[in-house]
Amino acid sequence: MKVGILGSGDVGQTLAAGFFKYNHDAMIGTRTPAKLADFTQAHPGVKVGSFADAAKFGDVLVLAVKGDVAADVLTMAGPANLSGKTVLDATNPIARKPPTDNVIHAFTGADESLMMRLQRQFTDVHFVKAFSCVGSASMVDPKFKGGKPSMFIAGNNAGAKKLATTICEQFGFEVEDMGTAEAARVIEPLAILWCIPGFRSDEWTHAFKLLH
Amino acid sequence: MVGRRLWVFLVCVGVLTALGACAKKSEPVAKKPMTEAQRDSAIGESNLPGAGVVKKALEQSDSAKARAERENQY
Repeated sequence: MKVGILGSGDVGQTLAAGFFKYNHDAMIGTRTPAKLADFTQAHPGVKVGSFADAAKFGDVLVLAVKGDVAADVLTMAGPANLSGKTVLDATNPIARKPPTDNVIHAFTGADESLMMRLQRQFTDVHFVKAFSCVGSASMVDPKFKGGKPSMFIAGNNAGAKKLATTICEQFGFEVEDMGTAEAARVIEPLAILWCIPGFRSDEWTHAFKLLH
Repeated sequence: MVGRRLWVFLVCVGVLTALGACAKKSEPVAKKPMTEAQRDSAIGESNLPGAGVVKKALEQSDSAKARAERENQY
C-alpha cells in the first residue's frame, strides 16, 4: 500500500517507520524536509516531499499535525489529491495553553470534534479517527503486560474503516469501532484523559484497553 | 597453632565483610518532587499527537513571566 503521511513530527516519523517496517511504501509530507535529515538517513526507504506530494503519493493518508493547523495542512495538500481517499486522522484539538490541574485544554467545544470540523470542510475525504489517544512510543508494536491495547476508531465510510482496521491490527492493536464520525467527539477527549496519568507519574507509556 | 587459625579466620571474615560492603548497592536517591511547571512541561515527552503545543505554551508563558520579573526589577 502507498501511504502519505502529512506531518513530520515524532508521530509522523514513527508511523512512517511503522508503515515501512510492514512493507508499505511511505512518503512523509512536510513544510521543512531539512528537519528530516536524520530520519531519512536512518530510514532511507521512506520518501520525503511536500504535503501535496505526499497526498498525491498515498492511496491512504495519515494526518499527523498539530490540531489547530490540520485544516491548513489539508488545504496545502490539495483537495484534489485528497478526494475519495482514506485519511487516518491522528490529530487532537489541543489548545495552546497550560494544563489546569493536569487536565489539558481543547479548542473545540464539548459538543463537537476536530474530525467533524474537517469532515464538514473536506466532504469527499473518508476520515477515520485513529492513533489519537496514544503516545508515539506505543503506536507501532506496543508491548504491554496487559496484552494488546485498544485502538478506538470512528468514521463514516465502512471501506475506510476496514482499511484503518487492517493497519491498526498490523501495528499491534485491537480495534474498537465506535461508529460514525460523530464518535470522534468522544474519542478525541480520551487524549486529555490519557495525559493525566502521565502528569501524575511522569511516565507516558500507557494505553487504553476496552475489556470485554 | 589454634591462635594462627583464629587469626586467618578473622582475616578472611574481615576481607569478606569489606567485599560485601563494596558490593552493596548505593541507596536509591529519592526523586526530588517536580514543580508544577516541570510536571506540566513533561508533556513534551509524551509524544501524544498535538501535545507539543502545550509545551510551547508553557515555554512562552515562562518567558513572559521571566520578562515581567526582569522588568519589575527596574
